[in-house]
Amino acid sequence: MNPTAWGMNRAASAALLLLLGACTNLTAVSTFATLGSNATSNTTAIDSHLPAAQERARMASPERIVERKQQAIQAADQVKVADLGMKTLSLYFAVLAQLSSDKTIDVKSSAASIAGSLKSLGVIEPTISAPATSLITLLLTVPLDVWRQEASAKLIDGANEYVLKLGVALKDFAENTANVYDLDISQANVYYRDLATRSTDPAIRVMLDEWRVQHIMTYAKARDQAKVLAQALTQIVQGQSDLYDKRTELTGAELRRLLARYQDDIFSAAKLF
Amino acid sequence: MPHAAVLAPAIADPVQPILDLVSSLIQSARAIDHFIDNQPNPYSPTCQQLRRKEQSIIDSANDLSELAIQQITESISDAVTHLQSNIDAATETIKQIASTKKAITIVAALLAAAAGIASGGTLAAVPAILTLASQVYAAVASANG
Repeated sequence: MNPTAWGMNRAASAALLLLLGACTNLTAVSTFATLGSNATSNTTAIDSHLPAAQERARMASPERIVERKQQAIQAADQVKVADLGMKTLSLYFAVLAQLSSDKTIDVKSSAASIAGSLKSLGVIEPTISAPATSLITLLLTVPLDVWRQEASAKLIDGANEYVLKLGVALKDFAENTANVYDLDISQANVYYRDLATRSTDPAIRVMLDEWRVQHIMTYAKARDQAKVLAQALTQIVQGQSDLYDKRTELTGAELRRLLARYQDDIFSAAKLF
Repeated sequence: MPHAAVLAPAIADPVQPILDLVSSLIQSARAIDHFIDNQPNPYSPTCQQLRRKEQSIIDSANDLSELAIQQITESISDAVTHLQSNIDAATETIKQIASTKKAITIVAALLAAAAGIASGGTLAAVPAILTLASQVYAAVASANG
């Protein structure tokens, strides 16, 4: 190759750097997807559906106790299904995060190495080594960048229907678990006060009332965790919906603004457990 | 307590009406709890009667909750089955991008070796050749599974 073909001035070098900077910035997508993956990787609040159902069976009225025990057994299978759902949703966002990450297409070190070798071989002049490195980086990055942007859009497009369905169902699962804990709170009020009614001993009544309050506090804590997860999943679903709507302009400022609105709620779920 | 989760109306949530109904029943049960909490004697016959009513509300709400959870788990199973194929396709793309990056690395190593040999520094070229060889070996091993 004629070394003069590489001859370029500082203006051309600056233009190349500008072009490189203009490559796709999917940081907002990657950050949102990473948060979504982290928030759905922990199944503690989902798993708490089982003890909620078991407590319901323990305190059930005599005529419903067999039915509630059967439902508590089924709850174990329901939790397994929901856990698989959480893992799948987490994997979807992990894959999207990786696809949209700048690291996936980072070839700067290889480009620098190639430019250095071309300089050693005398293909390029030492004076234009820096712009040549920029050009090589650009030439290698652009096709990879287009590739990952198209692949991100394709994933968001193809998976959207099922991500929304799964996200909504998991949000409902968490919300339902919160409801069951709320019902356990009411059931504890009925159960322990009914037991206390059968005794005339004040000490026993005090002891049963303490148990009632202790159980209620435990249920309230588990309920609140389930509600935080439900809220985070709501924001994750909203974010996915925005990603789908803006899938042809994933680098846009409006999408960055939309995704930023959800991050606080999702982050609070991610750090909760 | 965290604020309630509300989805945009455009996003379908067929189970939400059942969950809302359960929430309404919870509020009714809670109102009875609150009333009993404020009685001087929570074990009085009146409070006992109220607890019978509350138990009935709790049972109805739990029955509705069971209906909801069955629909929810069916939705999860269906969505997981369909979503997995999309995830697999995207994972394959990530592998292809990684392979392309590896090919670029190999080209870089090859050029480094050539540069080392051309400059007469055979010894300097050795590490680059070793790097290239190890990368080609790894790529072949990866391709062969």
